[in-house]
Amino acid sequence: MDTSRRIYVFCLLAVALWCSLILLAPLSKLAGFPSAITSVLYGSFAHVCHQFPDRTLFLGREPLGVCARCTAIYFSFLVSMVFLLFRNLQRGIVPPRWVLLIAAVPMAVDVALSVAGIHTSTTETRLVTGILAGGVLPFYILPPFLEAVRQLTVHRGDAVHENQA
Amino acid sequence: MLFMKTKPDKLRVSLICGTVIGAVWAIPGLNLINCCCCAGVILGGVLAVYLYQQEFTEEMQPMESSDAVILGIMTGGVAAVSALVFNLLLMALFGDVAGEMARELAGSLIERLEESGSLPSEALDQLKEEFGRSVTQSRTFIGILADLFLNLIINPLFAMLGALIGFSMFKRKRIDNTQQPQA
Repeated sequence: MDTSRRIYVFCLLAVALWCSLILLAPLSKLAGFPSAITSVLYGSFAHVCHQFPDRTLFLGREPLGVCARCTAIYFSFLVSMVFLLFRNLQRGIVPPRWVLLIAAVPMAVDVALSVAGIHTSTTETRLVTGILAGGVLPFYILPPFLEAVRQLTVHRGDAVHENQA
Repeated sequence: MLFMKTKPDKLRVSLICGTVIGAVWAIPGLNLINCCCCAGVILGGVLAVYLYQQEFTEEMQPMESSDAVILGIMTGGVAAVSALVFNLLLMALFGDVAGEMARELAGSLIERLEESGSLPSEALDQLKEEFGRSVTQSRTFIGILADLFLNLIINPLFAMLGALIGFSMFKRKRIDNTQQPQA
């Protein structure tokens, strides 16, 4: 397995861990874990999400770690990463920017109209727009990230060789 | 490559964008933008790359994705510290405005849930208790330190993601100077 793919798999596992922690927050409560653990889990996710209960999916009677829109973004991000695993990661090519705009605009419109009070976003609209936005993000983030890691390791390698010389 | 100018300094851009993100993170009301997967921090990372890109001239080496990664991490780090500074300043000047706002928001949300009847009463009581506890804890010294610690992890991560998105959106096509024009 080449370095790029190893790094990619590491990122994939990190995102999978993040997603599983979203599920672990309610599961830990349902399973009767000590309240310190559930507090740390919910408290950590509170830094990245509002966690409003009326906008959150529930597992049993406990809310997930993040709201429905964030859940959709993170899980579709994970699914896209799995799909990207089978593509050529060496080339660092990203899709044209209009694809990202088309994917992100529905979510922005849903949020903006909801904030303006013109239309009330529902769980369905939050999930659909979140899936759309989160699904395309890995295509724009991971190729340049892998390229960056390669650049940083090559530059460092050059410096080491120069020092040795 | 020897005659090429060095790349612009990242510190200035990261300080500007980090301070903007920190302000957005700390100011009550404005910080609601971060409710959607740290959108404010991600947009700050995008903005940092855009501003950094503007500082490049034709004589410089083109911007690389590693520059975006470093810039994003620096911006996020500055944002975490500046958010703490803004928070403390706001608390010193206006008292616990953010805490009051959070309490009001939580109260209205719980009211809405009570009216809709979508949650059993014991779950609502638990929610009330947790909201109250989290707001109180976040205003203590330990709570502020814990916030800073988490922000020092979360902000650089999300700002880096934003910077990578910005890099993908704004990167200029590389002109291959090694190719000779055909006669």
